[in-house]
Amino acid sequence: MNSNRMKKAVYTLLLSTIILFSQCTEEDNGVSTGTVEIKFDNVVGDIQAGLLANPGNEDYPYTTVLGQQYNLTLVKYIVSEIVLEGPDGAYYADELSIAGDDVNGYYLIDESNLSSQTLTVDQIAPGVYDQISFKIGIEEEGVDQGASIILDGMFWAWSSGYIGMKVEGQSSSSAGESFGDTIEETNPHGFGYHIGGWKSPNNVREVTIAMDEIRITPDYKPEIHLVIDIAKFLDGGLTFDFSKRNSIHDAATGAEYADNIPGMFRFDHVHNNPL
Amino acid sequence: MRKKLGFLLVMGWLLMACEGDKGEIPFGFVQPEHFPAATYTFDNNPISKEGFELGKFIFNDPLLSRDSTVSCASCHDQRVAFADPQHRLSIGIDAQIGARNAPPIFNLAFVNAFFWDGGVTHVDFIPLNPIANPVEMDQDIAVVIEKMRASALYQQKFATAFGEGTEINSARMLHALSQFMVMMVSANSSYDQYLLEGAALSESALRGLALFEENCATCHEGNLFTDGSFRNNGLDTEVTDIGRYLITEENGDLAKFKVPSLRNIALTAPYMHDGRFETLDEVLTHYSSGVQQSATLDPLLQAGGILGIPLSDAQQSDIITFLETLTDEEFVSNPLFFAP
Ligand code: HEC
Ligand code: HEC
Repeated sequence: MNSNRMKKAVYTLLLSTIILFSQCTEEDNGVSTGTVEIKFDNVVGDIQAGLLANPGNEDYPYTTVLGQQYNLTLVKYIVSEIVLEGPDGAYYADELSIAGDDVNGYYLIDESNLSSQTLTVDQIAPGVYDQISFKIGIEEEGVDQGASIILDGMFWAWSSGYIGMKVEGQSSSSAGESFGDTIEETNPHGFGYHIGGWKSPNNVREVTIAMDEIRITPDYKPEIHLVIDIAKFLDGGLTFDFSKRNSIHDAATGAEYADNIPGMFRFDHVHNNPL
Repeated sequence: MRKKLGFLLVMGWLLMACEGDKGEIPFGFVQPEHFPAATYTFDNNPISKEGFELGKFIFNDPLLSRDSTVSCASCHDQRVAFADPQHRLSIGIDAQIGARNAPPIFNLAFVNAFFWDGGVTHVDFIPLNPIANPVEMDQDIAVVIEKMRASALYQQKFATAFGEGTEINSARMLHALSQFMVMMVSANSSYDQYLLEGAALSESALRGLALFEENCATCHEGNLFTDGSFRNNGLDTEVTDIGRYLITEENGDLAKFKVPSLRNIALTAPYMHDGRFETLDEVLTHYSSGVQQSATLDPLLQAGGILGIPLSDAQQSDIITFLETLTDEEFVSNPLFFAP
């Protein structure tokens, strides 16, 4: 291609992107990119629904590998930097931007909010994909963009940065005086674990999952179903002991447990739904 | 999305129209030529007169505090370069005493470390701290947003600043406050006029400048008068405030604090993170003969086995004369920043 033609092609591409951007996504049909839905299904071991209890509830339906009983009052995490890859080189990286309430590529999953558990990712190049990866938390580039709507409740003000994962609940083994969004210091059995920090230490963790093939075309809207086992967070590589530590609210303490995060996520199934 | 683009186009056209018509400088951030380049993310939060005015209104509104008694301006007063003129340790809600002295506010657009321990890395995140701090304003930011949404006045002000029909949310509130605060540029002191236009400084101030460059500018560096680092300048033998350690949890950062700017320093007494010195005389006496040995004392303040920076009384007073040339009268009396 001679360089003039190349330039022209780039301009046309730029122009069409601008035009695309200035239109609503519904109008994107007929353009040769596709859309995928990613479902984050939180579970605790075999239990799939009704995961959360109210603060103050003293029924403890779950048991850790240390034999400590607990319930959950809050589960929230931030998913970012979604990448899809395929066996034949297909590659898609979700676009990232933060500008106030205009946020792309960063998603808050909240167990108490069903609609937050399905992400729609679009503008994906057609092809076959069999691997998904993403990060839990927000790296420095995102923090450096300043205010965003997703910082509500997922942010440390005193040491600027996003909290990647919040797990709160109650355990008969906890001696209380913990705190969190759902846990008051007066709660006699509360625990509150907030994992954040992007610098020293960096507790943002990458998750890579092999999956069955999905086919991206303009005519299909595949669904990827992932299962996230909260028990694996508490029981993972470094097991939480509610009697020894029932609070984490800083990066250094959280660092020991951040490696539990990737083990929580596993592939379940895909649907290759025609539109 | 299309609406927004249109809005931007119209805005751009309006701005150009203004410029053409009256030859006025459009409202916005101006980079002083002798400062390092601003690092604030203007692309994410473009400055407008209306956004700035909204930020100013919020800054002066006690609605931000739990019982509507304390505003940002309660502790940050323009007459003293937005420092706290009255209190050694700042006084917040229910007359509770804070742990530190309120620093002045200016030239935020050029740095990325705020508060004495540098825990905040972006201007937008600054207000989250005083609002939530139980000894300052003690209010959940979500409650602030609720109160603003319930107010017809705020609905109208947010619409004017960010466009009709925009939601009031924390991101927009923080953006408005930032628009107000990053516009606070102090770059027109007698010293700046000397530097840029060759205006005269007194003999004493010039001697002070030379002494300052030799003894102080290693830390209070460049035209912002800070190198942005965290250091222990020898206030105590024992750790009385962990300082930077809170953020890094490294022992080497115990009792270290951000090197503060010295612009407008003659206005911002008392001095140091806990406001322990009432006058610049006391500060100079400290550097000259009061520096305390400790595990994290800065190497520059114990060079050659000598503690501190020995200076004669005359030298100390010359340095103070120089520091007084850093006062920016235009900034502290600029009607742009007056409470609405
Ligand atoms: C009760 C008094 C009080 C109130 C109210 C208050 N501040 Fe402050 N401000 C302080 C103190 C004290 C510090 C220093 C705290 C520290 O570093 O630990 C500070 C630091 C700052 C700084 C950091 C300057 C720098 O260069 O590091 C800015 C900017 C600021 N405040 C803005 C605000 C805004 C905006 C509000 C309102 C939302 C506000 N303040 C409300 C007392 C107060
Ligand atoms: C080793 C680095 C270093 C050197 C050299 C140094 N300073 Fe400082 N200065 C600091 C630090 C750090 C602080 C803040 C300390 C604190 O509050 O705990 C500070 C604080 C100050 C303050 C108080 C500022 C405020 O807003 O409260 C003044 C005034 C000051 N220095 C003047 C000087 C002068 C004049 C000299 C030279 C004689 C000097 N400094 C040399 C590091 C230094």
